[in-house]
Amino acid sequence: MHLRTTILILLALAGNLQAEPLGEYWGTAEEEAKYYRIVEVPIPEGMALEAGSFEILPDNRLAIGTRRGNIFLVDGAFDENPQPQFKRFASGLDEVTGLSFKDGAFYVTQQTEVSRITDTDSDGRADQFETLSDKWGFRHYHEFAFGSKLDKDGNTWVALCLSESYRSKVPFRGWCVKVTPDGKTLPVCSGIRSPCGIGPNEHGVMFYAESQGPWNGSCSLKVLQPGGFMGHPVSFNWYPLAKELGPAPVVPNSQSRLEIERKRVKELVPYAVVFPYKKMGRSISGFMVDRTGGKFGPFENQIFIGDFSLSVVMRATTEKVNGVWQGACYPFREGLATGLLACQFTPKGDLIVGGTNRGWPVRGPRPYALQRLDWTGKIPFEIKEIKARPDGFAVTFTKPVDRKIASQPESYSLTTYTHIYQQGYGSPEVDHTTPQVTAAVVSADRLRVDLRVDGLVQGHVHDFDLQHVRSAESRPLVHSNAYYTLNEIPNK
Amino acid sequence: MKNGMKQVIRATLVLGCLIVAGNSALAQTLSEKLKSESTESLVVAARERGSAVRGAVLFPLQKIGCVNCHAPGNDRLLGPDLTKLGKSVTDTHLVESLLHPSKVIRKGFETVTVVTNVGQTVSGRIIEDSPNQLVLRETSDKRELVTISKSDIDQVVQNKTSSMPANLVDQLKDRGQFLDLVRYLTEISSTGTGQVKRKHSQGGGVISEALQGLVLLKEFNCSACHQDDTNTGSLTAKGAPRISWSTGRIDPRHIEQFLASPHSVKPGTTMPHLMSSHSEVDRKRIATELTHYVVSLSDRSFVRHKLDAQAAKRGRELFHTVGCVACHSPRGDDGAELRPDTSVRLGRIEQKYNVDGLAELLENPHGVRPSGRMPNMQLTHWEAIDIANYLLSRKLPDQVTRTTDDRFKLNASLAKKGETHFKQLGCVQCHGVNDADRKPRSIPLADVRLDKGCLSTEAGAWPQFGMNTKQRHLIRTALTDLPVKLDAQQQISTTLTAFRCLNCHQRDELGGVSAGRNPHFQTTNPNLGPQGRIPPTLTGVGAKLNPTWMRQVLVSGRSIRPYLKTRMPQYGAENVAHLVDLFQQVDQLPEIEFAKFKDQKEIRKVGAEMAGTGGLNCIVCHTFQLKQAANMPAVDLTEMAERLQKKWFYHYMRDPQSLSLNTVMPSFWPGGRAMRKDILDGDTNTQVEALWQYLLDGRQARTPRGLIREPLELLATDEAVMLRRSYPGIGKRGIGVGYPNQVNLAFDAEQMRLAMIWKGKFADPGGVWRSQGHGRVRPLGTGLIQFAPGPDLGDADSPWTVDEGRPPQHRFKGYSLDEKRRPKFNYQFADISVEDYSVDTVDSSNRPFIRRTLTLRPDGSNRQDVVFRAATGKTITLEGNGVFLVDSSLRIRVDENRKASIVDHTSGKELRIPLQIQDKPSTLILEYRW
Repeated sequence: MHLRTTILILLALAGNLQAEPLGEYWGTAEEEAKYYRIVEVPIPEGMALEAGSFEILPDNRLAIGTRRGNIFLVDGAFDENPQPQFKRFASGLDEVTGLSFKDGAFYVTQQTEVSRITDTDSDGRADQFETLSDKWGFRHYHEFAFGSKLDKDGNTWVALCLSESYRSKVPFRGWCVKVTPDGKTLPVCSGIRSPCGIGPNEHGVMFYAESQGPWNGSCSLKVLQPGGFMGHPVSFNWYPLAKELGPAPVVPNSQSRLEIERKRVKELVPYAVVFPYKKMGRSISGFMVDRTGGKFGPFENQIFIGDFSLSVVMRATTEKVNGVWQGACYPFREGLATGLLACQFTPKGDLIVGGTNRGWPVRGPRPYALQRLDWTGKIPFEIKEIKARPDGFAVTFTKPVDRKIASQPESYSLTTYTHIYQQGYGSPEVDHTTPQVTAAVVSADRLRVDLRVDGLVQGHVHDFDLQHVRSAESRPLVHSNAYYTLNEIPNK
Repeated sequence: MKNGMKQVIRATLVLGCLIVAGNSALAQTLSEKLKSESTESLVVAARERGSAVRGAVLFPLQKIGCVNCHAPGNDRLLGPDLTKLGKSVTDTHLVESLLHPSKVIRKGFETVTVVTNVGQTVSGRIIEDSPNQLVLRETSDKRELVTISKSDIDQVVQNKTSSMPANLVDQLKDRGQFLDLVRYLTEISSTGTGQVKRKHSQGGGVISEALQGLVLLKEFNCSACHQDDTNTGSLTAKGAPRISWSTGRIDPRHIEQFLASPHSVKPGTTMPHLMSSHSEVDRKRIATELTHYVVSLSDRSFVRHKLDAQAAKRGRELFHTVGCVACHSPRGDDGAELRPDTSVRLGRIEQKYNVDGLAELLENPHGVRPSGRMPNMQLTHWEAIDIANYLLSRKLPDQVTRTTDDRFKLNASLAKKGETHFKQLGCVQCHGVNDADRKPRSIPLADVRLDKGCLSTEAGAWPQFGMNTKQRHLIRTALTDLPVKLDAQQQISTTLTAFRCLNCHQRDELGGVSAGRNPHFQTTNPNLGPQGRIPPTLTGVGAKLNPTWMRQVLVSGRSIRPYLKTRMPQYGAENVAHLVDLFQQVDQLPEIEFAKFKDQKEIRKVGAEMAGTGGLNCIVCHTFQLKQAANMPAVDLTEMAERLQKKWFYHYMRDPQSLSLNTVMPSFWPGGRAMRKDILDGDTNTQVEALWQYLLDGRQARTPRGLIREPLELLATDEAVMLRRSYPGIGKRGIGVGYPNQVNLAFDAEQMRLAMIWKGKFADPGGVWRSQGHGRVRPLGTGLIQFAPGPDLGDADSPWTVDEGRPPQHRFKGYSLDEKRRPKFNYQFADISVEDYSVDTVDSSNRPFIRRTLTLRPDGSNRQDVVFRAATGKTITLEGNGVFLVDSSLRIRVDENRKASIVDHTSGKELRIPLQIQDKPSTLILEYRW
């Protein structure tokens, strides 16, 4: 019976995906390549390297955890023209989707558990596999587990996918739990649907990447707020196992709006950065903050996040406004070779990406690939960051803008929309409005424009189209769109 | 569709009988066997059982070879166009021709043997017979066109036998394939007649002299000095290289020699000689000073690196295959250029660059030479180094081996003088960084006198371009005859000429691979015939490719033909991107009406069926999602719709050779009639539409039926192999272990039990490593024994957990590996910690078995009430010496002191071992033989 349900759901899911065309490319690859080039990191012939997680070791090697359950240690992946050497450190694991290294031990998140893995006889291969926690139930293949790198206290945060999109059949499916170095498992929050990446935002607060589906009109980056509720109520049945978090929240109404329900359900944490479906990926995945000190170009301290379906890398920035996390996302680089699951900044300040194209529709043609984005040293003309202001937005750019054009309000067009907050799968964009930019004030250094906006809508994605803006050298933006999720309008 | 399936099944059954029959007559070849049958019976059998679709797939196979001599639309081959045989050719005739080719030779396809005056002989079919010469298609394996002057001919002898080999059908697998082929040939035999005659030029043509002249005007960058008012369309001029790049990468001595005498140092260079009116002494002095100036532009110094012979060897192979020799000359063993006259010559390249310099140029030519004449060959860094090593490793007889002492010493005052010359001589006109550096322009091109200055043969104060008479003539023609405005077609052909696209591609009558360079175009798969190695035609390409795709090919290096060893070079967006719009403007196909359909989902499904083995079997030749097909690696189906225009697809499906002469793609709608009349009522356009709708799904397209995936196997070597995933009968927390001695087990890390054992090969992980991973790991090998659910250890008193759930008192703790990487599983049962360690071992008769050791360590308190459940079964009997037989296949040996007992159980018997656990560790050893 169980098996039959699974198959039916699989078929239904496959049918669903079949009917929908994949999103188009942004069409910006040619221009992007001038600033960020894609470097192939060759994989040994015959090795099916489905990268699911990365880590940098103290000796400057790259560690790769794979969906096929291996951990590889790679020499030379950061060389300008890489000819890397792969060594298998461990094998036989169950989808390595989280990898961290501390004091001679790997902290590994696999589907079944969080493990501490060590090489006690120093022969270059793991021989000790210690289960730190397997507290959660695991009875269905879709019950994926994604683990963070260790936080400052040495904890691994694990986001646990629901049993299927609509069920939480075994303990803690749809929850985030924290696994301490001594093997304690602490529930953090409920309401997760189908996570992929998990890690800190640029301010060191733990976030995760959620996929479009039930109760999620589009993909989004969300903050894993302790005691919070991430939006999908089917996991409420495990509150009795998490007494310290109190009783389960009020169940949200379907066919509603997040902005309305967050007033009814006090634990509901607004989705911090919404990635509008297809425009900005279809299955956002692993992310990492650029701490390269400028070695990766002008986006230091921003979040870089991949997408599995569209094989693209995007950027995101977050800020806390009136006590609530929110922010914006921006296109960055398209045309990667496979579905991206994970990314990792290298000691040289490049960004390694990798993944697989199996299982779900993927733009990138290859079954697996390991690639690196290297900054060419040229600064692209891009929207650097958008921040909310009480009366509009502050938009910063990577290069000085053409003052004349940038100071004309009509150079900016803005639409807003939100999604239906519902039990059904995904949502169209709804409740469209068109705010007016009434003033655009360019800073003295021409790197920032303060937009006064008439008609900000709280709870909506604000979709920016800056195709008319030009740089001081009269060049258009590499990407002229950005998307700000305005959960809160800053108090004056 | 259903009918079609039945046919296939019936055909398979017939085939099965044939194989049985075939075995009884092993010595007989297929042709002998077929010849022993009556023609009539074969004809009837072909009509009844032959499949035109299967025949269509056989026809292009190289091992059968039909396509070498027969191609629709091509009347210059050895055999006739089989689509134009006419109504008079019956299937009886076709069967006879296949089995007895020489019985009746079709008129016009007889062969002759020509004996020349010097006694050479050439056999072939006469393609052209003019008063002065004979053109023959050779019957030898090369099947080349040979032109013989009539005056050289002594005798022409008519041959009696057909050029078609008598035993060709022996290349087929069996009689079924013969019938399929006959059926296919019958189907196409008269479909070509009455259609619009395909026009295929042989290529080889060149653009008009005026346009050639224009290309030269751009090549010599005339507009750097002359105001250019000619309307030259979009062709960019060939600018000069960035000279500051040269420092440290080009030997200063080479620069010096080159400047003093550019044309003798590098024949064919477009760099003019600027000092032809200077004295020999001045020339040398100025060249030296200029060289010091060039060297002063950067602080890199020139160092020669040691060459790597292995790299050079690889480089030679690359140089002759990736496409370098499409423009440059192939080189002999000694590095000498074999076709200097028709090539862009490399000059004394080995004296010019060091390895890093040349490799950098090869890897990113447009960084140095933005005009794109030297294209980017999409070489990896390491390939560029290999080719650089190859090109620099040629040793000339007169070459002096230089030592490091011989380094060039920069002299600042000479450099200063050089800078003055750089401006005064006019180097700056082409090499200058800023427009401001340039002198005012010379007279406009339109006013240039055709016999003076650069265009004269005299030496003077003007640049000497070293032009030959022809070049002078062409430039003069351009200056007098060039049209006021180039039309789109002219702009295309000028660009294609200037960038030498035509060295590889044919477009209408222009260009194409020359006979001399043809052997250097190679393939990874000979089954694709010429289209597998010769770059595709550009005839009508604007009506074929979507503009976005075309731009990606031209600008971003996208490619779709992994079988071509020659790579599509990159010329730079600013130089060639204009071709996209021009091609789209010029190339048009006749209108065609697309089929209408109601339900996209439904028609897509039919399209998927058509692509699979039950339909037209596209996947037997076409790659699908990078998965290469059995017969040949034809273009990936999942990229078709992104690439192609729909109208082109419709035309191509009906008559592939009308758009691509060389393709081995058969038509499944010959003459517009569908071969599969059972699909979509046999309506051609609806069938084509169904395929198109299916292909529109791109990478999401449903996997066609019959796509075979390579098996996955995980096997133990001299060490154990493990995989943690779902196994049959275990939840998701299974841990499989394959041991070197060919025994295997799976441990259930949720219930803490040995879940199953088997022998032989370990496992097929396909169920969890493919797709979303929703399946299970499949044990391979034999002798699988599964144990009942529920933990191995339990309390004697409380009821045993026997469902799929997690037992409340058990906790998995992980495992460690021994020296053979065999796991010792650790878990906790209440306050007892358990180590469960199995090893593979062999008995005295070399039969493998498992020895399992459980070590139990109590945490403080003594436990008297723990029970180990070793097995359950319908029957369990004690055979003696502690050996228990479970269900007549498994023998478990338990230490006799352990007091194991057989107890009744819901589904039969259970073997229980009571354990008294004291304060010290207790060990239980079990042996499993089966």
